[in-house]
Amino acid sequence: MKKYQFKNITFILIIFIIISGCLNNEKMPTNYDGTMNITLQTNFDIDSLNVKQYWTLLPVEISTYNYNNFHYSDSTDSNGIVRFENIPFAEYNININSEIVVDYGTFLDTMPIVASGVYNFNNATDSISTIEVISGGSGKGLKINEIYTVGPPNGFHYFYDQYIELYNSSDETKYLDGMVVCRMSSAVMGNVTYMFQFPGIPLTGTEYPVESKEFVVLAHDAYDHKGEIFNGKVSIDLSVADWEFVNSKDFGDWDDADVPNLDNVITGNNVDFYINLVSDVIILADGSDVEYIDGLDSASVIDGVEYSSSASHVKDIQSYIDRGFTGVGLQKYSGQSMERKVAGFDTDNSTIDFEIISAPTIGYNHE
Amino acid sequence: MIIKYNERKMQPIKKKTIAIIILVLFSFPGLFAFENNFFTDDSKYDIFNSQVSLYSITNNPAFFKITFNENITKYSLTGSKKNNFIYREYSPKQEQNNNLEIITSKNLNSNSTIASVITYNQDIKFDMKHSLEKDFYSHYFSFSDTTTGDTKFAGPQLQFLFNHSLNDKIYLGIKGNYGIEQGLKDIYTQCETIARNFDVSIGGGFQSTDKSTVIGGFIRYSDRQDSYEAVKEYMDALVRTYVGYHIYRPEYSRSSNHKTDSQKGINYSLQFYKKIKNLKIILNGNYGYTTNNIETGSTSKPTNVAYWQREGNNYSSDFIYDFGDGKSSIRIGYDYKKTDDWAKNPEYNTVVIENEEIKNRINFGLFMTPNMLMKFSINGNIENVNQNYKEHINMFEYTSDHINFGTDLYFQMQLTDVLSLDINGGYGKFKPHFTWEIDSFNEINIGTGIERYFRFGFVKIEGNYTKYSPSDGEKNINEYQISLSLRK
Repeated sequence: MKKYQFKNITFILIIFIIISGCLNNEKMPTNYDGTMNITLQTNFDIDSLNVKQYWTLLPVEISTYNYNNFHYSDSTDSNGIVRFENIPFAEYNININSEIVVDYGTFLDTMPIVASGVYNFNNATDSISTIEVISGGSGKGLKINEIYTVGPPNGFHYFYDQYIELYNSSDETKYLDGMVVCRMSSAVMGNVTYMFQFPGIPLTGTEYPVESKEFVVLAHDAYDHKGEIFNGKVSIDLSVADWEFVNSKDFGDWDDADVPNLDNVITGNNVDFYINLVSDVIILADGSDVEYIDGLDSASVIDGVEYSSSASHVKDIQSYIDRGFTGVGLQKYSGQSMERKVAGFDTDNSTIDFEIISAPTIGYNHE
Repeated sequence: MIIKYNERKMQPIKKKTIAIIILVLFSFPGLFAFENNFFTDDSKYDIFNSQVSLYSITNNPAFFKITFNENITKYSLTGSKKNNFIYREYSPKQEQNNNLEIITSKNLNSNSTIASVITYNQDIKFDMKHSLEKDFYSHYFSFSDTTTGDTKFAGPQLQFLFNHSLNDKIYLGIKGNYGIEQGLKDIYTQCETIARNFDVSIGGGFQSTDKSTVIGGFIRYSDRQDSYEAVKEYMDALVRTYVGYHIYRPEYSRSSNHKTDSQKGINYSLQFYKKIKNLKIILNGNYGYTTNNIETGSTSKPTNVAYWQREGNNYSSDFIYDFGDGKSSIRIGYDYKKTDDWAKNPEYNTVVIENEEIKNRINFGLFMTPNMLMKFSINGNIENVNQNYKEHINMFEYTSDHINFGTDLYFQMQLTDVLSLDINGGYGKFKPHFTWEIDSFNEINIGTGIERYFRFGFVKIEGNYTKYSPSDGEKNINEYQISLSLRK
């Protein structure tokens, strides 16, 4: 009997010990959230601007996708430094979108400046991070200025009011003759999903000019989507578009007789220029290479933009076309659009150049 | 003849008392089957119909046999409806609960007792705004979307207890429960929740030869896994994970968003019981903690968004004085409970939420059996609650130091040889969770039940009505409950 008891008690004790070992509690961290500080030092890409005169009072905004409603704004001091104190630990997007008055000796002129970056906590206490300010934009020319993909708020998968907006940021007239607009698949430059071409002769044609600082709207369907489909409540009127994607092989495709067309190039493609609502690559090329089977010649590319709603998206297109991607946080059927922060502003990095806006801006850039 | 009559009556009353005790006591793990509190949130004084016992206070499975030694089977079907004419932002406007329960307790031999509770529970939350949780406010990291819909939760729970005495002095016991519950929202995101719960307590106890002294202890391990899957159809339903009650993390737009809760807990408990003539003293101490890892995102690439730890102590002392040949008693008890919560952001190893809650409660009660046909009890409690809750991300802090109290009354009478009637009522005033933004609630409860003896057993029908009225407002919350049971 005693042996029996001992065996049982031993068994129970072993079970106690096993159960106790199943779990370990942790010690509470010593750092509290809401106590992070960010110090940023601005630095202009043009050396002559790196003087106190231009550093002072630059408006700097930081915001995070990690939590809702966390936007902070402040201005730089006379040393070009701005400091945000006691903010939540998170990844922050830094944004400067302003202009400075530059003294050229004989005259004064305003110059747009833009800066964008991502700040992530690196355990270095109170370290100063440099934010590069890009002055006046770079690589002026014909740009993809806005991409509207997600469709208006609706419950029946309506996204046919998609459009792409081009902008001529150069000081000279550009010509659309023979140019192509492509949707690329994930197989990077070697695989073209759709290719639609402007009429005219590529490179030399001068029939379809785009004046300096002019916007050009390329509609999926040049149609008053707002009035005809949504009874004026949501969506947009694309009957005002400058161009329309029309696949002449798709006999049911909407074609506004008053709006000129970009037509399909790819044999066997019988559908319109559909693009993915939240993740895709759009390229504008000069049309010198329309042999799409072997991909698109990189030398013919004028501009390219990659977008994805997911921050963890792995880039599809080569970095010489677009070093980043825009669209993080884009919501399907929300009416949101992706547009350059300043019309034509291009650093070949969509992460910096673009931002999500709450509604499309047809033929102009948001403020 | 009179003596014989009383003896005949005594048996059903005793059995019924035991049945109700078992029902209520086993309801603890049942009610909290998906809570896994590191110690059962003791509602021992809610037992209107009985004297408190060693097992009811300690929850040590080794003491079950010391308290109950009758064979019993009970089947019950309960339905309740709750109308929330006032509700919090993410709470349902109406709730419905249906419950089927089978309770059994059987003495296998003089040394061993086995007991079980099999439950099928169905909970329906109507017009629940945004919440993808069963109770949005019970979790610091709740999942939500932007839709309003009805969500149905249903699932079985199995509870089991085995108590064995090695001899007259040494008792061992094991108690466990396992439950699964599935929930589905009737509107996109059509969020599907699956909760799986496992809970086991192993206890031992020593009883002196004269049965006047008992010491014991148990260890409890709990493991709960919750998973959520919210899919989208047309427009994105903006799935979010809250951090506290004011800040949320927007989840990335994807075809389906997932959340998993992985909660584990452990609880150590020691008990001491001493009987000195008519006075019984019960001392009980508990220490426990739970850890909870919360992940969200896609199933292939989940993000560890939070780690939440709760630690707590619970100490109680109860003094029960029996009189009237042990058929009546008076008691007073003191209960101290402290809960400490903290949660961190694992990415930056920073504290995001802290909560400290201390409750000091005094309980008192009187249980009387004036004669063999009547029973009567009155209970009361008053507690001081001290809370300090902080959300560090947005610098939110809530502090409170307030008093709650409650009283209840129970009366039972044998109407005829085969028919008995009971009536109960209660009144209390308590300050609810700060998210109610209400100073206090008045709670009124009334109920009645009638039981009849048939050859196949005792059939009872019960009804209950509870009303919660805020101190500052005309709207209220009311709940109706009806129950049908068969006991053998």
